[in-house]
Amino acid sequence: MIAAVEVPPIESASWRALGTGVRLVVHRGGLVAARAAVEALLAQVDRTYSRFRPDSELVLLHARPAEFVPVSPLLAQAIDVALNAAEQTGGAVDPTVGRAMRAIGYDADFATLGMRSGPIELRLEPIPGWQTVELSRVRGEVRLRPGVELDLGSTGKAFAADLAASAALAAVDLPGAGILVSLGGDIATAGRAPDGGWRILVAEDSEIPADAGGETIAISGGAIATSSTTVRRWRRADRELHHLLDPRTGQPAVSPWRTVSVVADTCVRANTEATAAIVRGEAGRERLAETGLPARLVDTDGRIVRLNGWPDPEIVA
Amino acid sequence: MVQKETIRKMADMPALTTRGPADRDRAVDRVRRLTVGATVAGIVAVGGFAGLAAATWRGADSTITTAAVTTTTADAAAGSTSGTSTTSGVTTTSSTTTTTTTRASTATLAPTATTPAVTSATGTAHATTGGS
Repeated sequence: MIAAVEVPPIESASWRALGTGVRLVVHRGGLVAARAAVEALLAQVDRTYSRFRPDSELVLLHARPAEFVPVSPLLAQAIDVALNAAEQTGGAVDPTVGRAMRAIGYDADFATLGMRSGPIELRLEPIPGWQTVELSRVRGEVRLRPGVELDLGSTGKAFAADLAASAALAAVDLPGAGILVSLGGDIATAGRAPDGGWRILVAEDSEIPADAGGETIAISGGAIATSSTTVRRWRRADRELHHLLDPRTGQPAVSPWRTVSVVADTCVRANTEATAAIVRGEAGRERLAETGLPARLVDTDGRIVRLNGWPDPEIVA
Repeated sequence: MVQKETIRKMADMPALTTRGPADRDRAVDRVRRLTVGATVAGIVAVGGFAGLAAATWRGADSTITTAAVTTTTADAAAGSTSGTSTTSGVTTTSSTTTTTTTRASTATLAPTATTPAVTSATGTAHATTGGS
């Protein structure tokens, strides 16, 4: 007699890491192993390129300008990904915004920013630019010009999501397994998707529970990411600030788009294109259309534009 | 000695320079290769990515020394669409104590650029995408 093998249902877990919400969904079992893998990876990411840990490798790199500094493979790769995202977007998504980010007051974990309300001096000046970063891939060394600080936030979280999904799938090691990892709404998948695909609630705030209802899409795999100026906002004196900086000014981007979601093969690419669309302003829509990636843009009045096959919720398959 | 051609350094240029489709496609391909290459490098090790945490540079050029030996890994892009794990083509040589990995191999890891299918859906979502 052959015993029936019960296929584990979809399981999920949620917790916080990297200053944001983490959601892990496994298809066909392996939640415990997958979570352990994701937690360990995110801890490594935090130790490597957090801007807010004084002992992180990135912070220690900032303390040694004008010299080639050996870096770990993970940091070298994270910087490499960030530099290529900058090149890909013509500088719209640039990792050398670290100092500008501190200048606008985003110099600590976001949860603590609301405690500070005093005035802040804002200066309009371009950021140093990604071209000032020298990365030796062969030697695994980085040299920063004095005064240049990196913030890998625009690609680092998405990169971590891509890595985490792959790590979790490897840890589960079950045939037909599927993994979804969301880091603050930057979602990467690996393995086999459930029947009908991974269902994703599309919102402006990733903290909205997945079962809250609203525009929902299904993706067969790959990744989806959203950039938005509606969250991670803070106020200093009479100035409302957000975390998406325009490299041309070093200030929060002024854009007709407040939220952009993009589907792509990797989370890095999805998030890069979403962020670039906001920073580019009026031109963001056209440039995004040229990529061919399914995208959804929300303008500052709440009007929604769907591009490249992003489904209309009125037409349910 | 630093090999000149390996240093990424470009002359200063204004941000947001206009680029053509060919430039963008080339850069996109590079990002994709790097992402997958990084994934592979990160996961290559005993116990999935445990080697990533253990990875250190020995100091010799183009050498990543890890505490582990195994080279089997999962390919993120392949897994995302087919659900299969693959043994990567990463250039890896093993000994009893070290693994040497070169990034040059990433050129062979470029997956087929496949945009996932997107459809409308009903029912409870698995996750929420949004700003954070």
